[in-house]
Amino acid sequence: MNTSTGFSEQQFKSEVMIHQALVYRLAKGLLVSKEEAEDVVQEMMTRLWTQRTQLNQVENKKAFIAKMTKNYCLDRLKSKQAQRVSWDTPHEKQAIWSPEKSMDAKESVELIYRCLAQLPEMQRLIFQLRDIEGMEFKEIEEITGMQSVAIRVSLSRVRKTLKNHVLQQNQHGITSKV
Amino acid sequence: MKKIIERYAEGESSLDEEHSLRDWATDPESGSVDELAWAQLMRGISQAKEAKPEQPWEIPSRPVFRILPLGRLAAAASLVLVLATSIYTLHRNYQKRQAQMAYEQTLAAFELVSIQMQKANNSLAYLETYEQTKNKLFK
Repeated sequence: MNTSTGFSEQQFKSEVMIHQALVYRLAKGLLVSKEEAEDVVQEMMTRLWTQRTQLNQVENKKAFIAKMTKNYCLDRLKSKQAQRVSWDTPHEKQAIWSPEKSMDAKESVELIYRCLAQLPEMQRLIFQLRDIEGMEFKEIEEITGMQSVAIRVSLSRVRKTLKNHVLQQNQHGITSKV
Repeated sequence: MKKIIERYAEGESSLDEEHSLRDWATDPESGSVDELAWAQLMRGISQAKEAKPEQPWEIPSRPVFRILPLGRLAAAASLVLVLATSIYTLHRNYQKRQAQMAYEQTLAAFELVSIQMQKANNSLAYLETYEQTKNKLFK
């Protein structure tokens, strides 16, 4: 039920809180660390809750939340508050890339994040919005402020980079399911 | 599938095509090294889509405001009024008592002075009589 003061609790749950996973995934992709992504979820949801009086004016809640998360994560990266986790630590490398193990989906996702961490922030964001969140190009334009053509070019570049990364890993003697 | 992969690689694929690619990637029977690498990437993407926070945010519990019924409010207001009046009256009585005591003490002091003055007067009268008698005798 819409109230003059904004969202009801029920509305907030059904229209905003359902996007917690989106916030988490975006933050994880941009900040790399799971712990930081958890923090971002708490921060974003608290901000949205306190600003819920203005949410009635927002047409596309998902895009709005994604944009808010992007801005917050980029600010956090800029202010160097984010202590980025290095994916090249020997422990993780061994855990992910043990030659005896075949690469399952879980390892593939770690490989994606590991590779994404080395890419520019905007490319990471575009890949996440399109391939992980399944957003339309119009929504991605709204969130990133980029033109559709530029988005497609960036997306193509990231996809090819990721595929080459997978290929490279496989060619280094690591057995895989495929 | 080859064409969809090409379109995907160029950033030209639709969301439906990308969905079908992920379906294909779950069990690709055979393919080139390149295709199999794409399939592996797709499986990673499918897995990444499942990620969610371990500690989801919850709506904070609201502070409880109890609305007192009108009767209780009136009773509370009356009690405050009675207490305030009593305290004021007690304070005023105390002040009056203090003033009365001060007045009485002052009166007592004046009375004492008056008695002493009377004594002094009597002495002076005696002295005067003595003086007159003396003068009569020695003239």
